[in-house]
Amino acid sequence: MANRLFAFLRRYYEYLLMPLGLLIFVGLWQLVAGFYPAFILPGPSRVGTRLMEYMANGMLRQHFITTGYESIAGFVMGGLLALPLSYFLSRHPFVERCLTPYIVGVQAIPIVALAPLLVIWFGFGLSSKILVSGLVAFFPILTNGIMGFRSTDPRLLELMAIMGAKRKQIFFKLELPSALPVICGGLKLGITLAVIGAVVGEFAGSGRGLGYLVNAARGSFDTPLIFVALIALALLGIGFYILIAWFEYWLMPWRRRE
Amino acid sequence: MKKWVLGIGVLVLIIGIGGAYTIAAPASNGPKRITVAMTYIPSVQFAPWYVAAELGFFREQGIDVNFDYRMDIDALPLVADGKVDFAIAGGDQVITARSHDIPVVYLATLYAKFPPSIIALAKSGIEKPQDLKGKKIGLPLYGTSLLAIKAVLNKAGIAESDVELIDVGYTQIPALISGKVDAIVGFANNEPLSLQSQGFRIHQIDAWQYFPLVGHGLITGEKMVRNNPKLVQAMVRATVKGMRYALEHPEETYRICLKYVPDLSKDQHGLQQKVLSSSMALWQNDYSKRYGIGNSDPKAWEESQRLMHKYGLIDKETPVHQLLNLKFIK
Repeated sequence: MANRLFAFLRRYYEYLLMPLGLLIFVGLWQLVAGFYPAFILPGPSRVGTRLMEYMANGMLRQHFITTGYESIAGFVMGGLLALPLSYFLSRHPFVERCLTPYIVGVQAIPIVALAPLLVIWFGFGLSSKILVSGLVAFFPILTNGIMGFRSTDPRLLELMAIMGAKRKQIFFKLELPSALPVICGGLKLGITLAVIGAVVGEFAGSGRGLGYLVNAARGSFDTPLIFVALIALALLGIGFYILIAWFEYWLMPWRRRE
Repeated sequence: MKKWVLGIGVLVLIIGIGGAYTIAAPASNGPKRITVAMTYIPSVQFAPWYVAAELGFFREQGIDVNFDYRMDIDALPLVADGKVDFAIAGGDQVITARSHDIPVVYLATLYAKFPPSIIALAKSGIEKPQDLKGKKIGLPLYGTSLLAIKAVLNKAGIAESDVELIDVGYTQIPALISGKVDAIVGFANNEPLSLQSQGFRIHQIDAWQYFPLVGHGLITGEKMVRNNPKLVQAMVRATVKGMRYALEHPEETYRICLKYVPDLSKDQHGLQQKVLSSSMALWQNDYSKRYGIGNSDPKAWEESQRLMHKYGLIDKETPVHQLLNLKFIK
């Protein structure tokens, strides 16, 4: 019996580690929370109760969907702009050198400072949040894209040219596949940043979304509700990450063995 | 390997010294150093405390005050927990905090008149609360502004579904000028003056003309009131003295403020002087004229709390004597 249990544990311990880690985390949290008043650090049980309450009235779902939508739309927008541009820049180093200072400059402006302006220019609806989210997601996708497309083995390029491959064939059969691993890294980074962008946009002015919820909960001193919003944000980020990881898996069958 | 250990050692040492310094710093002789969380950027609106600092009213009371602008409303839990000594906060914030069992106490009022104001461009034709029906109103969708608009709409008999409340954060002025909203909720001593100085003709509906709600004032934690009443007394006295002095010497007060609000550009000076004088107009109401400056009417607290409960902004009420402690101002 003990032997079988041991064998089971040895086989599946990786899958047990994750929930175990969570359990330890929640335990430690409860312990530490005991030393503070609830309005500074509410314990997990209190946050759990608030989560149930807030889920029951359907509000959490609404905020979750809003932020999720803004992030996805921002991510798609940022990606659709960044990927073609990254290919172009990787093939035209001169243009890249000319543009890089500006791209880096835009990226260096803290989005928190820029968001209120974007909200004023583009209105208080969804579009300004999507824009902020897209801006944040754009840069990692672009830089990874450039790096990825540059990593094409020049010998293989030469080989394909010698064999008379067309531009389209070179792109789809060589350049894109060899760039994909790095591009996917950029996409994973981009999607998690897109969530942050959406929240920053919501901070600057909105009546819906998890960022708004954090702000509103803060305004009404509802610390457990802030935690609820943070947990929802973390789940959103994780969910998107898994989505991209799955996409990566599907896209690159040749890497599945690794 | 050795270098690596040395590097970590030096880092630990630096952090340790830094930490020890911050902990040890306040424990010196002389006036007691206390921190006030201002919950806003440096502003002429804090004139009483600037005057008290500049003219030595704090020193007379044996305290030395550090104005801390880093915190927003997050200061309230810290004040309740004794991590920060005092804060400037709204009466409605105190009520909300109390409803979440955050033990803060209001000690003296700065804005005896409830400062929120609904502002529209003159050409919009919005002159009285009834005109707001069917309009878009921009405001930060929580806190004092939200309470004010709910109270005004309710008093005018307009359902909330008959207007569109849009969360514009603190970008009310651009939202109004660009026509994204028809009216905004701001503060009587701020947005109207700013708009007028930019040449806009406006109408404003002042909330204080409709309700006796409680505005911003000096707060501290229950712990502090219990453990260190002398310090609370000193702070309240210096505050009230600062208010009195400022009211009697507005010109000098403005000059003092300039030292404490260093980021003002030259062309803002005229506007800021107006902000100061219209702020001062809000420092007094009938109650404080009768009982002395800084006093706050317990009935206004009851009314504020009743309305906030009715509008669903809080889910439980707190006895007024826990919210408001006027012992130190008498």
